[in-house]
Amino acid sequence: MAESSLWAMPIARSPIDFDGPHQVVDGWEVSTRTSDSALTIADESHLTKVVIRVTDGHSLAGALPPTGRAVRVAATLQVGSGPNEWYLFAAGETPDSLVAELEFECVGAFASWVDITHGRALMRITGVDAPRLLASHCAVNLADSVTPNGSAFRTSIAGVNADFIRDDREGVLSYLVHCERSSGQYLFGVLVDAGVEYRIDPVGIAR
Amino acid sequence: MSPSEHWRIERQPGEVIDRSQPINFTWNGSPVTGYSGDTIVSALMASGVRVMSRSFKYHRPRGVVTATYFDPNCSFQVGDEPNVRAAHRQVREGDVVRAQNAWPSLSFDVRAANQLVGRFLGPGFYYKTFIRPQTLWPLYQKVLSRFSPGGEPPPIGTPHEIFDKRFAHPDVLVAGGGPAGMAAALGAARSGASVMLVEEEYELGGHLRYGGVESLAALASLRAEVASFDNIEVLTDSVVLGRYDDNWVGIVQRSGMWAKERLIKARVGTLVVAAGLIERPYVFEGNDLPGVMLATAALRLTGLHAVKPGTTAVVFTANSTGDEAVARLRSAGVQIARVLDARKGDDVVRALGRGKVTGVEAGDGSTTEADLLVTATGWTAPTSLLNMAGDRPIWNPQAARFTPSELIDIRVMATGGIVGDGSTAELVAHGRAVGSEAAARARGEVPQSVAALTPYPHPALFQSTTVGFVDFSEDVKSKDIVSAAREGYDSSELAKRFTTSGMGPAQGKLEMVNTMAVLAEATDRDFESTGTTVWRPPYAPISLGALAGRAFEPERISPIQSWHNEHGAKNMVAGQWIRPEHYGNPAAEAANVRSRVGIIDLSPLGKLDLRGPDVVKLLNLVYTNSWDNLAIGSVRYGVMCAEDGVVMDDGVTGRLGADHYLMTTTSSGAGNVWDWLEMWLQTVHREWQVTITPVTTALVSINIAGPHSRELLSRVTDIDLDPASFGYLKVRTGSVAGIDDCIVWRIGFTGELSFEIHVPASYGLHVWQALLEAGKDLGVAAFGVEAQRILRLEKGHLIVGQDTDGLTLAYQAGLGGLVKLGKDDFSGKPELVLQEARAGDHSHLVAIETVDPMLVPPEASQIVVNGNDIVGRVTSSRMSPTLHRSVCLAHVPADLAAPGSRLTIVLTNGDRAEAVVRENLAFVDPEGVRLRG
Repeated sequence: MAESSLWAMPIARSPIDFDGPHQVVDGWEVSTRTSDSALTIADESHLTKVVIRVTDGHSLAGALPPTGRAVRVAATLQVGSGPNEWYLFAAGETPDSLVAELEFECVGAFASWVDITHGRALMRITGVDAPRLLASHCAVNLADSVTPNGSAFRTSIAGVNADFIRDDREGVLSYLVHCERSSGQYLFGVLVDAGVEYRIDPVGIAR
Repeated sequence: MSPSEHWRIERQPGEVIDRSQPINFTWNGSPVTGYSGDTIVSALMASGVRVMSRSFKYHRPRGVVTATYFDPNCSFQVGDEPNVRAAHRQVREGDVVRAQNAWPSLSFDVRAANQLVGRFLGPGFYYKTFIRPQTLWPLYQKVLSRFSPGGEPPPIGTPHEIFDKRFAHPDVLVAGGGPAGMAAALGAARSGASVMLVEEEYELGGHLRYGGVESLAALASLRAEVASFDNIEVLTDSVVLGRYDDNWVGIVQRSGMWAKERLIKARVGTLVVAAGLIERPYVFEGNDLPGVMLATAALRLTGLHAVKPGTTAVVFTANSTGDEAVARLRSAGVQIARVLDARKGDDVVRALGRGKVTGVEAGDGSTTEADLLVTATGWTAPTSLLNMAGDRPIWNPQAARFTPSELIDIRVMATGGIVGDGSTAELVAHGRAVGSEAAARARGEVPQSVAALTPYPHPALFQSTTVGFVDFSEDVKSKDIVSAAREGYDSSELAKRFTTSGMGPAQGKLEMVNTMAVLAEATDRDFESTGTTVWRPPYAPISLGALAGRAFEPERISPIQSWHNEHGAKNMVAGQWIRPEHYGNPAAEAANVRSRVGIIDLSPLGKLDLRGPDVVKLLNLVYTNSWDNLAIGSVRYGVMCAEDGVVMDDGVTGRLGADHYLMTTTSSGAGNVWDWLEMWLQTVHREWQVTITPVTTALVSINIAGPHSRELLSRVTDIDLDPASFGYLKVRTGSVAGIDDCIVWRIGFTGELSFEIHVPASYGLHVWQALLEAGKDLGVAAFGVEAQRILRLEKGHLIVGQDTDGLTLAYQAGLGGLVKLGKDDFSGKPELVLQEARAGDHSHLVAIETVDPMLVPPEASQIVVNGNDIVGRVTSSRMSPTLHRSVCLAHVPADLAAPGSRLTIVLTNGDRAEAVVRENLAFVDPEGVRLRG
């Protein structure tokens, strides 16, 4: 194998692209766009993402949040995304480190984890109008009484199956929207379009 | 026409126009100037226009009646948009406004001649006249359609505007933003409920908006209080369309920067109906003449738009609103020629004039010259939403209007004029109490009653002693109702349908009570026994565009799509995927693969990550072949059949570790296969320890194909590619272009030496560009889906869904070699056992050559025998750039499947072409030398 400058510095690219300055951070090409808007949408596809699946009776089911709930454990967001299924999201971690503390061995049951960092798009919508924006496409009741901070659910939005995780930031309403990678740009466009009414503005990562 | 100081009065305390912003538009081709905040109709009135339309049937000149959305005489064509409610729609700069239903002009409409034969156009005219002979129905339809009213729809091809939808889940939804509605919203919001307050007008306020100084002060206070609550969402220019089961409520939002109309689907805790009251016209001769209008119309025009509706007025009043109109008109400079007070026994029997009001004849026989007749004779409660919730409102003879009965659904409440009357303070107090209770009920608390408002007594006034119009929209007169009753249509529902009274755009809001009153009198019954018609959704019109909403068609793209677009790709849609069909010359792309090396983006290829000790059991169950001995580092092709033996998908699965497999599926079948595997695991074999993760988009798949593919790949990978260590149908993992953990396997859909690499998707573009850079001297070039189709057809590889269909069993597809009936069980086995026993009966997939080598029969061309008996079809066909002749696959019956059999193909132009069945499916390299090289 010949060495080439072409692959000396591989660049990972998000499925989502929008105008504004970009730079390479930790091997990822990311936006550094900023905004003063009260409603923002950020591309967080560069976060390390792992999916854990278990068969019935696995002890991990008791160690991870129940379906429909998301909790933060240190810097990792653990999401009970479905029966026997969880997502782990974190910035700056390797997939191995995300699952290092979890016990996968279990007599009579099986568990696996798969790195889906590159296979999924992840967006964060933040602002008090975020529920109204999402209500443009999402039929789920986003009131505090039904979907408080730490809620997670999966639904179809504009024809795409997506996971929604309410993950407030410093007391401000914030939702993560997670979908498979190839629909990421489409869904980002749909959400930005719906957010025009609320003066949504795309932003890059805060570093 | 410019804003006329004659008709535009001095500044009013509640006016909504901005006199600093003139708005220019045209009316029937003539320029008109209004002000920002004017409706189209108020701007026209301010410019002296009095005739707004021609009536539906008789083409009588008509003017403003209600000055609201439901004004029956003010539907205009605005640009390309027909039937615009011009008494509601705010005028916009440059609007081109035209009258509808008039020819050649509004002032001279030849179809007004219908009035001369009006006596023959009574109720049921159409039903009776155009019923026979049935053979002429199409002709009748054509003729009658020429007389149908309404505007002109936009020409086909006109770009449509955006229609939107959204969802909402308010604890309390208040329908109506008058004083009681605002107060209800406040009462609920103060209790902590999330509230949606829906108002039909452009502003909150209801009748307070065009009231006196005290009303305006109360309005300002209520508006400020509403604005102070973050938990009240105010929707103006919006209407609650209907209430459905479990308080599922539809709302149409009419104006906004985001869309022309938006349909809101709301799941509501408690619905509070605060729809107010609708003023009712009075039935008398000449009541449709321009210049006859309701008191609320006069108050709106003067109070909101500072327009003087006439010069000399007669006011016929039965209530305080009429009295207020007298005072307002007088202050606006209108001479009040006479006030007729129904409470004192006065009556109006006739409006005089031709084309406009010139005088009024009172019940005492006296006449008064006037150009304006204002009536204030009663109210209709718009109980639609209550009806939709199961309520059957009760006629209150003292108040001469319907009021709600005891509401059946505890999550539906009512306040304001629809319930009863009161001062502003009383209405607000009732609204607050209802709102607070509505919030409590939304929280699930035990319902408490709220003291009701009592309706004020009101004279029962419906019709005078003369004949007049009951329904302006449908040109239905009171005598038509009487005639219907005489013909036996004496129930309210039948009379409505026979006469069409209440079936026009206002949908009974103005007409229903008067229709019932006339019918009751004609049948010598009271209101209770006459009954009413049923209000059904929608309460107000909604466009088909809003109901349809926007069409969202998800689009899936590969991480390399930007490169494809920048390099001349002609894209195709494959399912939801956007894929490069070719980059300009698919034949050349295919030839380059055969002679040098090409790369293709196969990212849509379905991919499933399978893990667990029981994966082999699953593979043996879903594939027809055996997977017991697949070694780590090997891949195998497999075919899946449904339980009926029909081929459902195919693909390659590689064993990456002891309990770790990567399965590929067809691009379009990825979702179905995932569902299929999960179905077996979740319903039949829950005991199997297998987990499945879809990784289609986690891995970018690139096929490197061609005699130079090994050389190219070797330049960017640390994997040993020596054929001795990395043979055909093997898989390895390693670094590609600096990216670790890439999966590389040797397969050959194109028939060439090829390597399929799967790399973490975020690096897909990086690896793609690295391959192109590294292989410049090897002649590497991208090839698209079309070149791949050519190459695989040359090799005789089938495509599931192309060379099979929903009836193709495994043996018919030439896949018998992959069906291992010796396995214990697998999906489709019973059917395949039967099929094998009938091997001579079924069709076969064969390769065929046309006798004329340059003829490419279109795919799906039929194969016939005995002239026109269809026995098969061509499934795939292309011109081969390698062989310079056509190559085809076809399904043929068993007796024509033997090599050398001659076939007759019917071409699309009807010509026949001869073809011969080949020995082997592969046209190129049947021995597989290239593939295994």
